[in-house]
Amino acid sequence: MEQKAEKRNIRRIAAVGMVLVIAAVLLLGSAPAQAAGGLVMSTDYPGVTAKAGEEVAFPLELDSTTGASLNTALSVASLPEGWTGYFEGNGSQISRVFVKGSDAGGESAAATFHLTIPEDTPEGTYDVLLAGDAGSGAADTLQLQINVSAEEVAQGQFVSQYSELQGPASATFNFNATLSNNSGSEQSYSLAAQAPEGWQVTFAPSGESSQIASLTLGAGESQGLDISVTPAANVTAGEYTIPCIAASGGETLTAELKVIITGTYGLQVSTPSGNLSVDSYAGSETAVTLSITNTGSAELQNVALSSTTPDGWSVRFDSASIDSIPAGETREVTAYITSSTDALSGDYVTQITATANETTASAEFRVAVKTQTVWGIVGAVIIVILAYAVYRIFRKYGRR
Amino acid sequence: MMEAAMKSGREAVRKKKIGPGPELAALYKKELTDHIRSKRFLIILALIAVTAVGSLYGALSGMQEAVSSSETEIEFVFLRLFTTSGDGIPSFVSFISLLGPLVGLTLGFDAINGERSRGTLNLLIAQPIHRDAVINGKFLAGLTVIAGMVCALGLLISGIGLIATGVPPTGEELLRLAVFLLVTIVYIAFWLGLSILFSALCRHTATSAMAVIALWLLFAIFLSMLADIIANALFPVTETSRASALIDNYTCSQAINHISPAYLYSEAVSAVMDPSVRAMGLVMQSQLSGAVVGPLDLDQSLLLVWQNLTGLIALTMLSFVASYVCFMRQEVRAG
Repeated sequence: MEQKAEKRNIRRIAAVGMVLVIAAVLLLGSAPAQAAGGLVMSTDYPGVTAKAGEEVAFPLELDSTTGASLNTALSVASLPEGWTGYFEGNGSQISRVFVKGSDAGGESAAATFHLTIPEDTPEGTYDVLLAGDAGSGAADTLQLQINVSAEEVAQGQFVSQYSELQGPASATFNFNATLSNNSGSEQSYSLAAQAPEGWQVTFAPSGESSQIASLTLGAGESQGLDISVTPAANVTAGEYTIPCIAASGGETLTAELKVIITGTYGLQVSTPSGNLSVDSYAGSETAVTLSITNTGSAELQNVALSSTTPDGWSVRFDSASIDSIPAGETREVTAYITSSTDALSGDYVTQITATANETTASAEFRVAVKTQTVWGIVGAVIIVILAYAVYRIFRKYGRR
Repeated sequence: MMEAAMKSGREAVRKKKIGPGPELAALYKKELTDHIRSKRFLIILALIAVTAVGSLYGALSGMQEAVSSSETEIEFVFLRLFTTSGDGIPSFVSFISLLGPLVGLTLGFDAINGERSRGTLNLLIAQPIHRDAVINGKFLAGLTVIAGMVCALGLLISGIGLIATGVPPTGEELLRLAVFLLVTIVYIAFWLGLSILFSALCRHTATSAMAVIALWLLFAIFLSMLADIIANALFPVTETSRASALIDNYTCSQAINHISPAYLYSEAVSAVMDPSVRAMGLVMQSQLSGAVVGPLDLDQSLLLVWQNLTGLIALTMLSFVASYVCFMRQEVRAG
């Protein structure tokens, strides 16, 4: 019988122990936010990563679960050595916060906990324990975990809506970029672009015309930027990457903009002096030096030369085609214009055309056909011979 | 005094076999005075002056029409004063080509036979002067009168034209005008020489006058008609004939026309006075392809008509030399 009674006692003790263990497990499970007595203190992100020397802000929310209003005292229960922190509400430092109960509106009370991490803090994970106590058993604690890292943390963002734009050399490229400050503090960004020589890059706030060189953004703010890129006048076709940099005291944000310049094609036919008029004698050949200029931004290949002449005229070139003309360069070709043997005195038009696959250009030459001066001399000689004959006659018949 | 001058003149001439002496100067002066004092000269001067003013009036109204009818600006306004016809009045240039010969004829048709019939030639020859001075003096005096008249007319038209249009001439235009006046003097001098030749050939003044007037009418008016008739007879052209036949016909009539000094003169003047004239005679369509309108330089215009200019100068020299030879070989008898 006694043995039976002993067994019963052991069972009771085990049952009580089980209840205690369960209770302990339950208690431990709700440890970060102990809802003991109707007060709940919380923050959205209890664990953050920060750098040594930074100030971290935790927005706090306090709620009453019982429905009664609670005048709560705030305090820092534990803080690593050398760290400082304070509570802030509505712009001033606070020590108590009034949490309204459901009968008084039931909204959560807001406060911010500012934590300053000392400069010399080694890397590691640190815990901070905050406590709120409204008295009469309504109290809560909040554990914050701060991971101090020496690594730079990209808190800002600098992105462009389209990172690649394409157009001809004469175009201006407009990028719509957004600069965001995701850090917990105000940042002043200076803006710069590493563009090739001769290029122009300007920054302006979206929708504004004033050009800016720096920009101040509050914590969590962002600003749209219009970045306007003007290529250099002599730019050749190709891809160009322009890193745009927004640098603040803490970080350097880079947005890579890419501009693709499509080739433009242009040709010009002229002479080295720009003079498009030529003198010629009927039926004779006149040499004209042509200058063929590639005025576009891409190389031209196989530029063929041709001519449109009056009837009976001909034009030949010392080289009828040019293999290639790089952008912006000039090649010289000699054209030999032969006028018709029965061309009239005066002006004729001969057109010389340069044709590449992509483009064509022509120039009209005014060829002034002249009569050989020889004929005037022939006339003069005839007159002189006649005059001599007249003189002989005077000698013969004169003085009778 | 006179005798002494003549004596010394003869001595000077003896030393230098040929050369204009004081005897020539005296004869030249006498002939010039005779011309200017004669009623004949006044009549012909008045006739030419009236036609000049009339042609200028025609030119001005013609240019006004051209300005109002077309938007384009008229180039070489100054030269147009001489070459534009209007209101049915021919241009100054065509008037001169027609009436210019008349001036030469009037001055020369009785140069020799008139004196002969009056009996003054014998007196003249009896004087201690050389015979060649007589004809040289006559020709030079006539030439001087012609030059004076032509230049005066040119200046008259320039002056009135300047007042009427208000457009000053360019240097090029003045040069062209000078060339035109020079060519005109040479042309009229040809007719002077021709008329002196006939006055030496013919006994009576009426005969020589009729002969040169006949030549004048032939060259100035009838030859172009004759040329067409002959060309059509030699190279008949019908509506179906080929281009080569047309060309032959035209070439033939051109060749005949070129006998006429009046035609040579008109062609030469048309090139000198109009810088836009680029060719004489027949122009093929192929020659015009690619051609652009533009004025020629003066030297190019002159080279265009060098044959005409050479021909005119040669004809003038020949006409005078013929009259010279004719006169020098003649016997001068009383009666």
